[in-house]
Parts: sequence; C-alpha cells; structure tokens
Amino acid sequence: MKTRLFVITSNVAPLSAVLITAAVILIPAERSGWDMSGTASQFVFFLTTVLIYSIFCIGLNVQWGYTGIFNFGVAAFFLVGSYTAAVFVKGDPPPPDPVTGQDYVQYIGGFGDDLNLFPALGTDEWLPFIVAILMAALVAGILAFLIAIPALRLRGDYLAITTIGIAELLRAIVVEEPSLFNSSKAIPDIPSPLSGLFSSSEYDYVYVGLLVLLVGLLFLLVERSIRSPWGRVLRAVREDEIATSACGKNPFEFKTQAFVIGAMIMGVGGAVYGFDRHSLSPDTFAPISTTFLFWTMVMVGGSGNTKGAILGAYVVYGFYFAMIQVQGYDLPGWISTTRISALRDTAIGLLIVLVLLWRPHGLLPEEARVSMWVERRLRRGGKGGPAPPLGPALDKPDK
Amino acid sequence: MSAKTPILEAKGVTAGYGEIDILHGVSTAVYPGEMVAIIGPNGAGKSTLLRTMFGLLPIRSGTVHLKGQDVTDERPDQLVHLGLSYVPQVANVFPSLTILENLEMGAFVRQDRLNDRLDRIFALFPDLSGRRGEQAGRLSGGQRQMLALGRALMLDPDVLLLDEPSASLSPKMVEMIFERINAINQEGTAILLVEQNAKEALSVCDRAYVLAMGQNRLEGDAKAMLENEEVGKLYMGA
Amino acid sequence: MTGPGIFLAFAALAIYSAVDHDTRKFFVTGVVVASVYALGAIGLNLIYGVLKFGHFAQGDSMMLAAYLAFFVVSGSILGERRDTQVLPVHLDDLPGSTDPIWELTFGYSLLLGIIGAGLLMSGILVLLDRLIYRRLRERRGNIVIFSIASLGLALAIRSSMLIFWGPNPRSYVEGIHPALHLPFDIVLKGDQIFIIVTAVVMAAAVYSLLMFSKLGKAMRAVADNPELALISGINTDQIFVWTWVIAGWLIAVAGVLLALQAQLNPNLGFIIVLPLFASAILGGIGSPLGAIGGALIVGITQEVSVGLEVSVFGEHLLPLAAGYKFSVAVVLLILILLVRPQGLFGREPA
Repeated sequence: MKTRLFVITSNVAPLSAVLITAAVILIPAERSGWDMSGTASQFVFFLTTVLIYSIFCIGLNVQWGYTGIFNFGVAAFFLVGSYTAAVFVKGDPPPPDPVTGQDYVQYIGGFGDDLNLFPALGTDEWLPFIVAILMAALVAGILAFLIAIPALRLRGDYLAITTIGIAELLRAIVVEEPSLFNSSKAIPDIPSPLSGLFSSSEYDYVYVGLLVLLVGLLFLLVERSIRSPWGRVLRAVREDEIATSACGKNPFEFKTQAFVIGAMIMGVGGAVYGFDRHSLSPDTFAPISTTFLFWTMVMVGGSGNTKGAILGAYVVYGFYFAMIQVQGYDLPGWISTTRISALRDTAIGLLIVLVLLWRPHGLLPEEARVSMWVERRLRRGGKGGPAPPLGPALDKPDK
Repeated sequence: MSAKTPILEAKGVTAGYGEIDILHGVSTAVYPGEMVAIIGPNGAGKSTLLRTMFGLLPIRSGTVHLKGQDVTDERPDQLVHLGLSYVPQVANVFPSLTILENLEMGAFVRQDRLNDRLDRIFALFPDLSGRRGEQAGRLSGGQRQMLALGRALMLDPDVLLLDEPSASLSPKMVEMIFERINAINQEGTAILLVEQNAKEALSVCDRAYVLAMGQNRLEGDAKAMLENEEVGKLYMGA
Repeated sequence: MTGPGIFLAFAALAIYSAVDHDTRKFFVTGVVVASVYALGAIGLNLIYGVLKFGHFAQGDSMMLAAYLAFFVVSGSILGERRDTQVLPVHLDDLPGSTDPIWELTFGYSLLLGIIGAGLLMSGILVLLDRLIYRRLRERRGNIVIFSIASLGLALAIRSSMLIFWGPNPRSYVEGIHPALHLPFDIVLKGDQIFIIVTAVVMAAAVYSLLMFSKLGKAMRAVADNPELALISGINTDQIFVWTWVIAGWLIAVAGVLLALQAQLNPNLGFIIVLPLFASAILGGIGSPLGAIGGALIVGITQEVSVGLEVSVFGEHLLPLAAGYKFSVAVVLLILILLVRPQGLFGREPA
C-alpha cells in the first residue's frame, strides 16, 4: 500500500506537466487546422504568461510556503508593481483619446526618454526598465511593510481580510481617480525592454528569454536564502512561533521580512506583466479571481517548494489557457462564453479545496533540508536517506 | 474490600501524541466504590492515561472496559452516557457561561430531575450556590475547581476521573478539595485521580499505582505505599 | 480607552447625520444597510465562535441564498445565451402570491421564498461541512486551511451563480417603487422598513436561541472550550451541524434583504465580505451581539461618507465617490486592527 502510494506520488508531477503541455499545444493546433507557426506563437504567449505568473507564485511561496503568512491580497502587490513600473517607463503621453478627445494623464516619472545616458550602449532600451522594476519592487515592499504593522501580529485570517481589503481599496482608487491613472481607460502604450532592437515577430521569443533569465535569477536568490540561517528561522516561525521566540528570534520581525520580500517579488512580476501586455486596466486586478489563481498555483504545485510554485503556475495556467482555447470552438448555444469562464473559475475554486483534502502537500512536496552546509556534506558521500516531506503547517493544529 | 470485577479497567494500554508513544502498556483497575490514586514523576504519562481512558486519545494497543463493557476508543460523549465523568486539570470550566449554565452543560445528556441534581451540587459546594448567575471566568481558582467537580457530578457518574484536582491551589484549598472528593467517594462514586501531590493523595485513597516512563512501576495499598521508602524517595521528595 | 473613544466619535457622526436635515437620508439608508450587515456579521461571528475560522464564503453564500429565493419564487434560470427559462412549477403561481402586501413591492410568495432559501442554504452548508470542513477538522488542520477552503468555495459559489443566472443584475420585482414619507422627514421605501423589521426580529430570535435554549447554551459551551464540551457529553459534531443550520438561516434572510436593498448581482457577494468582516471585527470577533454594534458603525459610516459634504480649506473632503463605498469598511477595519484588535465590545485579551 505504502509503496503504491509512493509510485503515484513520484509520477503525478511529470504526468500532469505532460498532459497540460499536450493540451496547450494540441488544442490551438487543431483549431488552427495544424498551422504550426500560429501554434508556436500561441505557445510562446502561454509560456510568457506562465513565466510572469511564476514570479507571483515564487513571491507567494516565500510568504505562505516558507513562512506561513496568509496573504490574500496578491492582487494589491500585482497592481502596485505594474502601475509603478508603467509610470516609470512611459515616454511621451499618447495622443488624445480618439473617442472622447480627452488627453491622457502625464506622469511624474516617465523616464522613458530621459534615461538615455550612454546612447552608445543603447541605454534607452534597458536602463528605464531596470529602474522601473526596482521601483516596482520598492513600492510593493513599502506597501507590504505598512500592512504588516497592523495585521501581521494578529491571527492569520485577520491578515487575509486586511489584504483582500487593501487590494479592493487600491483598485477603487485606480478606478475612481482618473486624473491619476486614467481610470478604466487604462494606461496604454507601455513600452517593452530591448524592443527597439528586434522585429516584433522575433521579440516575443526574446521576451521569453528575458523572463527565463529573470525567473532563474529569482529562483536562485530564493533557494539560496531559504537554505541560509535566515531561511531556517522562517520555517521555524511557520512551525511554531512561540518556540521560535523562545530561541531569541522575534517572529514578527522575520515574518515582516518574508512578507516584504515576497511582496517585492510580486512587484517585479507586476512590472514585467505591464511590459508584456503594453496596457493596464483596473479589471485585471479583481481582488478575488486574480489572487485566487496564484494561490491555486502554489497549493497545486506544492507549498514550500519553489520548483513546485513554478510547476503549479505551469499546470494551473495551462488548464486556464486550455479553457480559453475551448471557447473558440463552435459550441452549443447553452454553453455561452460567460458560462465557460464561470465553469473555469468554479473548477479553480474547487481545485484548491480538492488539493487541501486529498493532496495537501501538492504535486512537489517540500523537500526536507537543513542548511547548505549539511547538504554539501551529504553530497560528499555522507549518510542519511531522504527525509520525509514537510508541509507548511497543514496537518498541525494552530496554537 | 473490593468486588470481583473492576468497574473501570485499562489493560496494556499503549497511546500517545502524534508519532510518539507516551504510554507503553499501562494497566489499572478501579473497583466499585474505590478511590484510587495514580502517582509518579512529571512526564510519567499520568494525565495521558486519563485522557486515553476517556477517549480523547486513540489507543494503539490494549483495551479499556467500563462495567464489563469494552469501551476501547469509545467517544467521550458516549462514555458520559455510560456513567464515566472526567475533570481535566486546566480549562475545566466554560468561562463565558454562568455557573448555572456550566452545571446544566454537565447534565447535557440527561435532563430529568435536573433541579434535584443541581440542589445536590449546591449542597456539596455552598460557595457556588449564591453566585449562580455569575460568569465562571470570574471565579477564583478554588471555586473553579469546585465548579469543575460539580459539572462532572451532574450526571451522578459511577466513576469519576480527576486530573490533579489540587494543582495550583493554596494549601488550605487543597485540604478542602480533598475533603469534598472524599465526601463524593463516600456517597458511592468510584474515583480515579492523578496527583502530583502524592502524600495528600495517598493519605485519602484506598489503593495507588505508581507510573514512570509510561509504565507501571508499583501498585498496592495506598497507606502502605505512604510508608514505602522507595516511593517516598522517588516521588515525595522525602 | 480607545474603545470608548472610537465609539464616541462614531456616535457624534451618527447623531450629526441624523439631526442634520440634508444628511438624514444617508443616515436612514445607513441603518437599512446596517441591518443587512448585522445579520451577515452575526452569522460570521457564530461560525467564527463555534468553528473557529473566518468564513470567507459568507458574502457569496448570502448572494446565492438570494438567488435561491429568486429561483423558487420565479422559477427562472438562464437559458441559452441571454434567454431566461421559467420552470413550470414556482411559488409565484400560487393564487394571489404576487399581490403586494401593505406598502411592500412583493407578495407572500417571497416570504415563502425566504423560507425555501433558508432550507436550501442550511442544507448546502451542512453538506459542505460533511464533505469538506469535517474532513479538515479530523486532520486537525491549521485554521488558515479552513479559510482557504472557504475562499475556494466563495469563488466556486460565485461562478455557479454566473452559470445559472448570468451576470446581469436583477430584482425580485422590477419597476420603480415610490417611497413613504414618515414623520421627522424620514423617507423610506416599504421594502426598507421590511428590511429593518426583519433584521431586528431575526437578531432577537438568534439572541434568545443562544441565551436561553439548550442548543444555544451548548453552542456557547463549544465556542468556549470544545474539548470540555465533548467531555461534558455534548456531541460537538452535532453542534457544528446545528451551527451551520442556524448560519444558513441567517445567511438566507440576510441575502434576501441584501437583494431587496441593492439587487441580485453575482459580483456583489464577494465584495460584501469586506463590510461584514469589518462589522464582525469592530464588534469583537466571535461575539454575535457585538456584530450588531459593528454593523451599525460600518453601515452608517459608509452611507454618510458618500453623502455628507465636508470641505476643509476649500478642499472637498467628502462626499467620497460612490465607488469608495466598500473602501470605507476597509479603512475602518484597518483602523480597528491598529488600535483595538479585540474589537470595540470585545474583552481585553487575557
């Protein structure tokens, strides 16, 4: 019995990835009559989105997976990151709105053209974007710090409702203050890094490459810090706050750090989302569905495992993407577009419940690890088999 | 002094929290009308034994019998129906409920002759009688302990399990509580009590078990054990 | 000290808005809105007290209940595309059931509809408890797990409403309904009076149930100390089921009242969670009575701040744009968490 379970456990992750990949390639291919270049560009769009969403999942995993922080306002940091970055990279304001004749808002930053410090190095193609990403991370981090003050000392669900509230509050501000953010007219014409150097057909692939580099960098950074003494304290806080404070580590301090760092990563995700989509509208940041998608990804992939977070983004967004593709078929009248997307959201909502009930550790459970030092010794031929998987406080009563 | 069959009996009970066993095959027996003490050092598994017998912890091996009936792994609310009551050491009253409501909750499974039974408890603990409408959270430690005993007695149990009834009470209160426990026993209720305060417990009980490291060490007449040098040295700091 | 301070500040706002002729209508609307919030927040606190987790599907459950009442009354669900299909059997077919009672917009069919929604909602919640929450309890999971599960259900419930009834807002009875002119220049619609009266009756019923019935006392005992309740012979699992049943009725009544006050709208359910939690936390989490006070504060403040005109040094401070209505609840929530997380009427943590 035990061995059989183990076999299933070790196969589900690759199996689900293969199935999703097949669906994501075959459905668009079939729909386009096996036009391979169209299918390829669909797949590139899929990969781009997965990579962007993985960034949010990596950030959420730092907060929930490693530290047990119940952030239900991912949409808030997403919004702050993407608007901040957009404000910083935007160049000249676009021409007046063709319908209403109104001017678009001019931004305080808009360093797009001012940061061309060394034209020989093509700085206008990358420097503003780096500044924008850093600013997005900074502003998201500040927001997280401000939320941490009232909410992070309290029981988990207080933070959840506070972050949901903040996400809604920020969305309301974006909608209600047209003089700041153009309201639902959105922020148009956000440029992309290095886009001037490639043709637009090539650029899609270039952007995927850039995102792979970014996700890889974040992955390494997070993995390194989780294996450091700091990461050990985070997991200790997750397992038992009282015992951690008895060891002389202030849990609130460490939780705040993890919350802020996770939020900064989400801010980066927001920034690159804007660069990819070129325009932002408040509808993207609906507090529940947006946030929930990321939570499902992390829970499905495996809380407390950065690889799991990325795999979760791949699998769950693959499902989402396939459902969008299905809408393109000629469907019977009673399956309207609204119904398909509602069915998809029902499935996402139920998926998380099913994961909680039947697979609380996700596709890739957390790996037991102590520190880089111990792992290095183990690799050098030390003893000790694989330790049992851990989970973020899933099967332990709350104190 | 004892009847043929025990009213409550645990045989070779193994149980614990999570993956770890605390009890390794413990056996105890209480005969009708008896008062039995379980003593032993900290961490011996005394409280765990009571919790296990009362169905709050799963039993990994061994059996528990109540009045000859197998009640191994029976749910606590079922055991109450069968005449077993239990008073935990801490958090043994409902703080936001009034004294009267606390006692009513004790009688949750049986509503007949409620007033007779209430009268009996208030006669046993006159301190509580005048404060029926007061919230239990405002009572002193001793009064709380009385209320906890009262709550457990509301069903006229045949066997009463008490977990350290004297913990964190003043010496005067300890004496008073033991005197009441004795009175309850005199009325015919068999009592199994766990005590850190071994001297006090042995002096009121009929028999006693010594538990250490989750195993039976000694058992026998309580008065004899009071004189036993080994017990004295190990568990009474004498 | 901060508790009474906040309370006085609110009382000043409430009295000012009630006395001033121009803002009285916002105050009155605030009371109507607060009645709806109060029932929702009482349910939230009941669940929080007995089952110990924040039920994030509360708002969506309310909206679902409102749609269920709509369904049993009118028998309509969304058919192909935008066509509404009406089932052959529904309450509006009963003789005279749609004739408006008194000054209300609806007849006795909706009253029966509330009962139908209450039965269905209780059943659904008990079923969800059996299928999901009980399994999580058996695993002795962290409270946060329960909240995540309830959020997943919130999304699933909202999406199911979209599937069955579509995204377009509806009302029980379409049309424009005149308001009544009452003494003190109070202008209220008949339905709004119905909302206030029903909420008061329902809250009183739940209060007496909790205080005087054996079940209510057992529920409070389980809320105080679940293990001791079990030790006392209370079948805690049964109490959990009863809690869902009572919560189901509260949710059903609150949901129908919400739909009468605002409208039937699948997207309203989730957003309403913010004022509900704000009310529950302001009143002291786990305290059903405190929820009423919290709801009055949230409801009145919310309505007055989008109505009352306040200028400071020529800058328009209030009224806020209507889109900020629910942001008011968020601000109140953060405020109370900063200065008094145990709530206005909650006891200091021991």
